Amino acid sequence: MKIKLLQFLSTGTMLTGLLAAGTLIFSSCSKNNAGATAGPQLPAEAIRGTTLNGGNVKGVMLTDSTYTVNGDITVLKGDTLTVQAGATINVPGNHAFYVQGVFQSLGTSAKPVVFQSPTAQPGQWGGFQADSCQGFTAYWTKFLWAGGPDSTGGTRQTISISVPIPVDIEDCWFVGGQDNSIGVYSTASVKILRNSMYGNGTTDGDCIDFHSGVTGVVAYNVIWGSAGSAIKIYTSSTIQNPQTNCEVYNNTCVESGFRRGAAEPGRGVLVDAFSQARVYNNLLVNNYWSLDVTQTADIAHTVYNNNYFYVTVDSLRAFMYPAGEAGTAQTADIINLTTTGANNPLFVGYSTGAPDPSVRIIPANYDFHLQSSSPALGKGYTGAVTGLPSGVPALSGDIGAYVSDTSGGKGNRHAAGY
Amino acid sequence: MLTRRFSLSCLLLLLLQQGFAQSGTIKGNAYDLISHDGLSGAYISLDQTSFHQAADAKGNFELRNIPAGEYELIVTTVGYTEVRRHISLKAGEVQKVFIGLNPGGKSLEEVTVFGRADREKETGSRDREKSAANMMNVISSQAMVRSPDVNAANVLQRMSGVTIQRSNGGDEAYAIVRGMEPRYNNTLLNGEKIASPDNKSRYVQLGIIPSDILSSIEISKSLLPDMEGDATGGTINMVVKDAPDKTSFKATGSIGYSQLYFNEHYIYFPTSGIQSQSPIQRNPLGYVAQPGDFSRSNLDFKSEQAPPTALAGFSFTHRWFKDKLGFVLADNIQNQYYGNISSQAGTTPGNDTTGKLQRTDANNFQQYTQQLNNGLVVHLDYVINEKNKVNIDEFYLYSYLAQSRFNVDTTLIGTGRVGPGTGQIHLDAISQTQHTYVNNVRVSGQHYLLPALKLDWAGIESQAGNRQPDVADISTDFLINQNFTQTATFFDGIHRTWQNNNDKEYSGRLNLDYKIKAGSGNDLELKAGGLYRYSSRYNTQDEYSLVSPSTNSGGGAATKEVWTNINDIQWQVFNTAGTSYNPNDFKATETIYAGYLMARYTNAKWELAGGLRMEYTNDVWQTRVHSVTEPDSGYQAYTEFLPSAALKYKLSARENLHFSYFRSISRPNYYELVYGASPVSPNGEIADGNPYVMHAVAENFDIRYEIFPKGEEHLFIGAFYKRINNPIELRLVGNGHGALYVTPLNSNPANNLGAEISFTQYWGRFGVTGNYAYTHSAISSQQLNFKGDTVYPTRPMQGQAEHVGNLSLLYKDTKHGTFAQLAYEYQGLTLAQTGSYAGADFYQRPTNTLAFSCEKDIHKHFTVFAKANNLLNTPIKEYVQNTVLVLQNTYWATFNVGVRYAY
Repeated sequence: MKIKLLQFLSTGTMLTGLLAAGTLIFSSCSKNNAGATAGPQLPAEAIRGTTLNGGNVKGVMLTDSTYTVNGDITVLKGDTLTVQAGATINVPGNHAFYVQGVFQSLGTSAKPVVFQSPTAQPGQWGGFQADSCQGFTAYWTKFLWAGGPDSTGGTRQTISISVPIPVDIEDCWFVGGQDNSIGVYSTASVKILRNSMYGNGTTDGDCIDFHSGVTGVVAYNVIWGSAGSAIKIYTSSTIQNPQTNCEVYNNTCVESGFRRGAAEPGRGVLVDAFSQARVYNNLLVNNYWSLDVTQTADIAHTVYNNNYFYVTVDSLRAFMYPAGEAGTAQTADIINLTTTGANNPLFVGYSTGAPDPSVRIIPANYDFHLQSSSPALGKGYTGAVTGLPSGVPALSGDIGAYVSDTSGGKGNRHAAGY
Repeated sequence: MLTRRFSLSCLLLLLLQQGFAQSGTIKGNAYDLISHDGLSGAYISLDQTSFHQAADAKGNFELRNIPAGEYELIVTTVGYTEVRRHISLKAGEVQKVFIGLNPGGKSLEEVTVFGRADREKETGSRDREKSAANMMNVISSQAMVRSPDVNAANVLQRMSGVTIQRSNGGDEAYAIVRGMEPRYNNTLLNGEKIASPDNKSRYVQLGIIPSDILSSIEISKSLLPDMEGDATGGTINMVVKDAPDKTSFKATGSIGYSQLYFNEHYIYFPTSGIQSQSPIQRNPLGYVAQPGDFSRSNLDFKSEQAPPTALAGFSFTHRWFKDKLGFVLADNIQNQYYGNISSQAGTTPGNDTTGKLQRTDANNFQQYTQQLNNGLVVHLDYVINEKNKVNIDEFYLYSYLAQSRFNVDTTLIGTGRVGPGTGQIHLDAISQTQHTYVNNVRVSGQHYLLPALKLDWAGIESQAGNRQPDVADISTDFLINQNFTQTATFFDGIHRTWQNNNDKEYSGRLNLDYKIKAGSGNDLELKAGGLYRYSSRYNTQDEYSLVSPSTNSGGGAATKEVWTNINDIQWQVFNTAGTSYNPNDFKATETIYAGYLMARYTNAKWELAGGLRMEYTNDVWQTRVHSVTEPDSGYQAYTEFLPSAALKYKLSARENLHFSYFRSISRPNYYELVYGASPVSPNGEIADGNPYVMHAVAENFDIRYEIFPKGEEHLFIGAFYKRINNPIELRLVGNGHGALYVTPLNSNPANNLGAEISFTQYWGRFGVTGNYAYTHSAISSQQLNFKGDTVYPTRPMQGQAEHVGNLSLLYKDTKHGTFAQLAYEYQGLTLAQTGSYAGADFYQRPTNTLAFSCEKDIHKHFTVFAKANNLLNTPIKEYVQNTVLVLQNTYWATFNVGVRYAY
């Protein structure tokens, strides 16, 4: 019995010893190797010809030249794509610009840059998918007919950015996109100034859509016929931080918010879901819902006043400040809650019939410049605004995007149309 | 053939009874003294004569034409002490004898080379548990057949320390063992891995495996080097009908109904319009999808009285050529109609600093499901001689699912909501069909190269797949205004998805086993082996958006159409080229090499087993994405050394004390490594792969005391501790777009400890069987608090319930062939999913479920039975912050009655 026990013990000790030794040896040489790659990454080619067949591209698109893009274009991290004034870029197929580096389009008032589909129909190409870009600047640039389907069959935004970078989009045109015109989803700081946006969004899509911590300024934009809201300031329905916090002033928003149907009305200006904004001097005409500050907005820090409301249809009057929401008429608002058609702002060109959302091309007679007798002139708030960053145009003494005093970057410079 | 033999023997019986009146008959039953179960296959013989017989499935035997005289009747069977009884038989007498056998006697290990205890019997299960070197829980087919359960998932949830995780709204069911979610457990078929048809996991959905096809389910809670190392919680081994010792034929059939359909109609859709391929798959390259390519009929929902559920199956076993060739054929088919009525809610913090969550919407949904499961088992074995045996096994599983789902989602916070009864309502109707199959072929052999050296090998080809052609999802919406007027209902588009995944696995395995008998009960066994497996998965997905038509020329775009009905609505195809760059189009392969060395030393009191296993894994994936800088391929290669040791101390012939240590790993699921992949999920949850998630490695310590008093009775008491490094969890995270999605992430190291007790006890005809598991785990991972600060709160692992218990009352009257079981299950508070905020995790409330089954023998060969499940119609409820209900699933009770035949 003793022998057996000894035998057992020795065997046991031996095995345990082996095990322990094995464990020590092998656990120390356990190895790991992992990686994810994007396949062989070709170096970016500098632009030489005027026909681009896709791939990694960097360099300069030259002034007054016409380019044709026949494939998806990628601007790699660290690279820059610069577009000089007067360049025209035609994108015949459903191709997009994927920007991971820096994009700058430097049009001028005299020589705008044009990105377009030669078919001149909505949703023909993929726009600027710049979710991880390092810089995005566009001056005097026309973004026409973007929004073609993405990898799961959905619409694409004309410009999509999800990184905390400065975003500077000034004096540009957005026409016939299928989704949001400018979607920013990060703690980016934005300057969205003096742009004109006409007929964007299919049966959904906002012209300006901010989520998840965007800060900055949306001013002097003219927005007509957005499928959803013209301007949406939103943090998240589930995550309060970081907070979207914007200044929204002197925009002219007309006939937006109808194409999602009556069950999902769009707004002229929407402040929603834990975000805050200062909303002044906006001219809101015949939007489905005009100005909506929701119950879940950061009401304590949201200020709005001196906004101008005009509706030509009875059914829209009730939704200038929609019932049940947190927003209510303010003392310096120009608003008539009881009479439809009151406070006509006297646009240079406008018909006072009911908005027809099925029209996506802005009627030729529409011109949202104000007549000299417009009651919107001289009604703007010019006092202090909390959080207004430096280097942006001040608030105008007039209401709307087209103002009489255009000093210091104030006022939209575009003529009617595009 | 059977019937002919049957009638022939009847005829013979008649003739013989006429002709040999001077002889007598001995007729009776051999049964387990403790459990009073009949002992199928017990060998009955008369000493010094050639009269002998094997008892039938219920332990009955009948020896006829025995000349009058004095005899010694001998009854023997594996696992029991031999019984001898003196018999005086008079001429013409039919003498009835009932012979109870005491468990004990020959143990499993002493059984001849290819003999085995009957795994299908509970007593055989106890034998497996008792003789196993590691820690094991086994449930037999006898217990499964008698239980209220109809599939493997039902069965498992009654086993010690096991809960079943059901995907919300889906029908996938996977086991959580000891608080470890399914990814930490592996599922085997006859001890081998099988390919998974699931587009998300590595495992076969347990709900599609008919339990009648199984001869037992074994859960090993500790590992030895000769077992695959990816089972931290446990290895679930489903053992199908196996090598017969004798001819048997069993059949069963039943019908049933779901309580849901007592007062609800079953809603279905015609499936004739479903095309197996998407428009661009069935047309030449460059095809532009047209509105007419998409059928309307599969969104044209209809209702009817639900047809009854029907289940049927049979198994046949036989041996030919002097018992050299064994054959098993078994098939089981289940056609079930069931459904659920559920609700779900999103939450958001209020507009204050308390962080208190409120509901943002109320989504009520109903599902109507038809599921057809078929399991087929074919087994052939050939015993070449006493030293060599080869086997061929085929296992084929097919499951068809047709499901209609209706969501009514009311916005509680947001547009237009100004009080109860107002606001936006989004409606969704989804029609989905799904074909799932698993085909597993194994060729294996066992050879005694030397009397002490055994070689066993297996080669396995396993294929699995899932087809979801044309999953159609139609959305509409309307708004109830402040004055309770309702807008028209608007058509918000249709989404169509074609999804396919194919898995293929090729495995080869070789084990060498050398036994050294050192004499006086000291045995040393040395074992070495290796495994090679190559698996591949192809996933394809093509999607289409159908939207209200707009004519591009002139830019005309209507607003959303007003919804009328599916046959009148107009649409255009938004993405006419399909989704040729879908990241869900991916291929993933996995190569595994494993090898081990182990030793096992046994003497009368002790058993020590241990050694080292090495597993090398190489995962490679490739996908198509839309950007050159987003990853479209990746790999992970790693080698892990997995030592393990198990010590068993035999306190007595019926008592064991186990200690064990093992190291285990858990590999991420295939799609989880694929950047951007988001498999179709029935509840629309968005997932995203993460190529950088690492495999988890766990250190496991176990102790267990076992006592097997007699028969089916047992008592296990155990405790365990696990430490998991790099635990993988699917966590809810926000993306830049403010939307939430789940992604696999490695959390901080987790600790999991617990204790288990499991017992069965009989008092005469009444018995109690039960188990209870306590599990406590602690894990931490990054979360945001309401202020936006990053915190690392400690919480349980996802899917873990602190308290899980089962208690069944049994009544067994072998003499009258009656059995009844009332099964109660308790699952305590369970962390279902982590929330996006600290303190806002989703907890499932404790559940109490009750099921009942009973059976009665009505004839020598026939048994009638009834099964009732979910008698309390227990809802699954999940809350956040203890007060906000975010999910409720109600499945209703189901009832089945049927008849079994056994020959």
